[in-house]
Amino acid sequence: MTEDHDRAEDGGSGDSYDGARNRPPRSDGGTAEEPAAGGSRADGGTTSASGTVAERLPGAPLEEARDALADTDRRLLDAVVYGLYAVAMLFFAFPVLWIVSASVRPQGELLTFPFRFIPQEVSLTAYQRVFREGMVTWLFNSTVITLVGVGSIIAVSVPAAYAFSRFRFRGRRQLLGLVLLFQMISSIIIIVPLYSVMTTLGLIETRVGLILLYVGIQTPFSIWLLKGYFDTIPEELDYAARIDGCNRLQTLRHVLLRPIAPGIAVVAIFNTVFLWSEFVLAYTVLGSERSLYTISIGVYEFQSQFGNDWRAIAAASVVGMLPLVTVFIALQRYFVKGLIKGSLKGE
Amino acid sequence: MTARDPSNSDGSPHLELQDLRKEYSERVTAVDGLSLSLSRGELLVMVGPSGCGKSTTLRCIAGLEDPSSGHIRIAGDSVVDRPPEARNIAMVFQNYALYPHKTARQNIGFGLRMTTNLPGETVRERVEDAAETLGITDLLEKKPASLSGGQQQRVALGRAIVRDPDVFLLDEPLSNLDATLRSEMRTEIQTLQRELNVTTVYVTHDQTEAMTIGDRIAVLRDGRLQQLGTPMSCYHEPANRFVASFIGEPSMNLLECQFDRPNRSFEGAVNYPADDELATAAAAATSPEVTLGVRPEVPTLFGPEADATGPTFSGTVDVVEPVGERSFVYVTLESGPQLVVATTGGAPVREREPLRVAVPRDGVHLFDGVTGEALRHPARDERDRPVPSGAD
Amino acid sequence: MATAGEDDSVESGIGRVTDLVGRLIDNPLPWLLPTLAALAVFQLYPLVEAVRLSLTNEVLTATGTEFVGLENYVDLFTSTGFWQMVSVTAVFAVSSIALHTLFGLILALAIDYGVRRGLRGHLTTRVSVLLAWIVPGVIIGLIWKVMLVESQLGAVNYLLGTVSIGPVPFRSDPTLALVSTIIAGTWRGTAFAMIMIYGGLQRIPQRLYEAARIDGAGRWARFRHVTLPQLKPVLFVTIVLVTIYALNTFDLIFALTNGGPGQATEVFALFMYRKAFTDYALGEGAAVAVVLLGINLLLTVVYLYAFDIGAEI
Repeated sequence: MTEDHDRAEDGGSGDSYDGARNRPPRSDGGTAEEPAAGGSRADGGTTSASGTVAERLPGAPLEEARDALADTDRRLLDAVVYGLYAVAMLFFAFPVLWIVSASVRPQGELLTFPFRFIPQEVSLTAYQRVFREGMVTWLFNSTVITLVGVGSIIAVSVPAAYAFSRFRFRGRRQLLGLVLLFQMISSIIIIVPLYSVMTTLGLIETRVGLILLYVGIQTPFSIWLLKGYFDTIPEELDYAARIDGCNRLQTLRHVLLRPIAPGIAVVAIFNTVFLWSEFVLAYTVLGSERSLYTISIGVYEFQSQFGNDWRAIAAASVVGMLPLVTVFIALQRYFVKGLIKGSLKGE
Repeated sequence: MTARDPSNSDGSPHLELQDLRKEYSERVTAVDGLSLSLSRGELLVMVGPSGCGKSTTLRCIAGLEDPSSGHIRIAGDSVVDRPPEARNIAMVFQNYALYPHKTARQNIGFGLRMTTNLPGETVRERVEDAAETLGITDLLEKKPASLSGGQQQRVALGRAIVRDPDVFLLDEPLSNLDATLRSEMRTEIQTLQRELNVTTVYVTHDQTEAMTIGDRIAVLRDGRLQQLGTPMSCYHEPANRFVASFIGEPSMNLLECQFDRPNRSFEGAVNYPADDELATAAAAATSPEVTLGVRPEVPTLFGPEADATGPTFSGTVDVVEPVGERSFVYVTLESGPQLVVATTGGAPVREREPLRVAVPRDGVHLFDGVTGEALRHPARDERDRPVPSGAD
Repeated sequence: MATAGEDDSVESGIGRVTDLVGRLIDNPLPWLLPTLAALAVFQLYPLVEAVRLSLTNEVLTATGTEFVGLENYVDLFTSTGFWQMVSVTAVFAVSSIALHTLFGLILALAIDYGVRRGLRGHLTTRVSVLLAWIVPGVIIGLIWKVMLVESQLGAVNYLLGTVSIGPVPFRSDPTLALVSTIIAGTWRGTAFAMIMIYGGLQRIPQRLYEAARIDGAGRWARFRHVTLPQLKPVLFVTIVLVTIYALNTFDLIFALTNGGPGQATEVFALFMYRKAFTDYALGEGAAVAVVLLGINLLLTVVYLYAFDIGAEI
């Protein structure tokens, strides 16, 4: 990551020198925008444009001049964009990397001058402390809750999305509106009555209770997203399956499930991130039983217990985010694609 | 039982619709009392503008929709209460509806696997037989996304014929193809249908397609049958004004007139003296309001000075549309209406020039101005007679 | 398509069971039943319960509960604490909206540009931004706590120290504490705005840019007259969603400052939590929840309106 960033910096500063003499600097909002140029002149973008164009269009000095100007303009923009990349990477990646760096510093190593990002010595004592406080239990609980929870959410929302997409029944629109409403209302609102509600249902301090709660909280969003995917599949496909002898369940299984698989993946991604990270609901439902702590509760309780041991807090944080971050970096291509597709349906 | 079609009464009907009705709500009636019967191996085309109920009818036959009332019989057995897979029908959809994640082979074989207990080997053989018939053996391992439109169409046909159905239902099967492929596939479907001798209902909104492919065509409008007959009888003896304007390209010229009984003449869009036959036919109308119908092929064009036989109208040429052998000349008559006239390609007609149009009386159709029903058709040589429609 | 409520007697015959299943699944109800049950129990019931609680003087520790009508609401709206919280929330929300949307827009444009021009680094940038979004809220709070701490491992104070500033009391000064929560919130929330806007950029038809170029529009003119108007619905939806999100923020602030110092960073959700679980005043906490619910509903209406605008284009 840092290597990439260095290269970007080099390229950027070289270009900006050339550009700055020919063109006044422009504001950020205006510059970071050049889709059409890339689209219509894809070749010019990657090669040295003025040269190639001059070769292709001999005897067109005007064209050439205009092109040279456009080229300078583009280089200036490239420099600005590279600069933006550098700032963004620094702002967004640095805290995460820093926390990792801080977590492995030995007890005595303070910040020295010059600034040292990579610690001189690596010490895992902070991790030992987190481990002793129950890290494995938290990870286990979070993993179970996330896997079973995401599975249940998908199992509940796929049939519902199918029904909303394929049946025309009275009250369908109203019901869909209600689902959307529940999607929009934040789950934070229910924490006040949640304790008594979960107690009444006998679900307090149980993983099953929390999972069911998550199903109730997260299905609306999942249904909306999946319904969008179902709606893109022509209904003739259902008819064809019907004629080929499938009932609705078989149609869903043999014919529709594969085309909506990308949608299911998006739903799985969003819900995995949500369930793994979720704190308030878990804290309310499981917070009084140490053996049921999820990673968020565990890390939170840990920091309130060891408030001054910043190294240990850093280590706990790393433990809490590492699984998700690892999965994310491994699958980031799918994440990004899925997130973009799911973006119109909200968080 | 039902009104049989006299021209096709060789044997009992194989597919039969009786008073079929489909209502979506109190206001929306998609199919309104439709009765049809097809003999074994016949190809019937249902044609009409969008929303005429043709696709709904097809879906009712397939079992994808439940009719509100009426009967559907295949080989004598009522199938209304049966699910689609128990009706022994096969259907081809406009967008082919191939399963995107299955190969052509899996697409074709899926129905057999779902509805029968045939061993895998038999399924394989039947799929390959169907593929061979359609010339798509090389494509069997490909997925729909990597097939061209025509190839997808063949796979869709393969999926239909592999099950050896009693009835073949085709819903706008050519609409997604470009013009060249369309005529090629049209011939192919026709050949296939003849070879397999399977009773077929073919739905299209394209009257040219209907005319060229059907043994008989059923013209529908607003869920009602307008006319059922051979393509030629629908063309030459349209049962009403709608069929007259729908069948034939360019459309029949329709001229709204009143029949002036004392003068034995039509007045209105044109002033046109009637002969005995026209006068008798016009007298049968429910009111003086009548519509004269003139196919573009009927009138002849003359220069302003030349002598012509029969009644003529003066007018000016708006547009000449050359289509090769023939040209279509759009003429605005002095009395107002525009007429389309088909001439030979080389005819010396120029735009914006005056001329005269002769309309021989023996080429004029006459329709009731109120009900739209045909009152009189020009005589023609063929035996085919129009079949009285079930709608009125 | 088969509709609900058509119930004929089951045909006799061999396929009785399959037929029954077939009929059952031709009805939408079985498909929707798990969802309806989950929504009723875990969404509707708690909401109703919240409204009921807000009309009582229920206290977590005591048993006797009385119906007190709108007393809780009256108390709430006449307390200074409530209005202070509202102003803190307003500052937090408005800055979040401005910063998330602005940064999201700039980054989305920069990444879009980089993708089209084939610049290096756009992927790493995107991954970095999304990384911040993946981290659990509580842990974001802790990360920034460590980053901003006044001694030892506080990277920010250290870096400021090298240019002879500070140490800056980021978490103990009321104003700076609020600034810290806004920074941490922006660190997390920018990814969402970026993704939304980037998605919006992908939906702008290329031919509009081509047409604009043929009309002689320069880069700024294309941005001003093509990109911005085309992005308007997406921007609006993004702003509404960011607003809802900011107003309901809890875990990040809970871990970073826990609302302090004093009430300096106590936003809506934290105020509600404190009322209910620190002061044990469930009734009052529920009243805050109902107010928050009202605000959520209002914003949802705005959001739906925004979506209609989006559908038109």
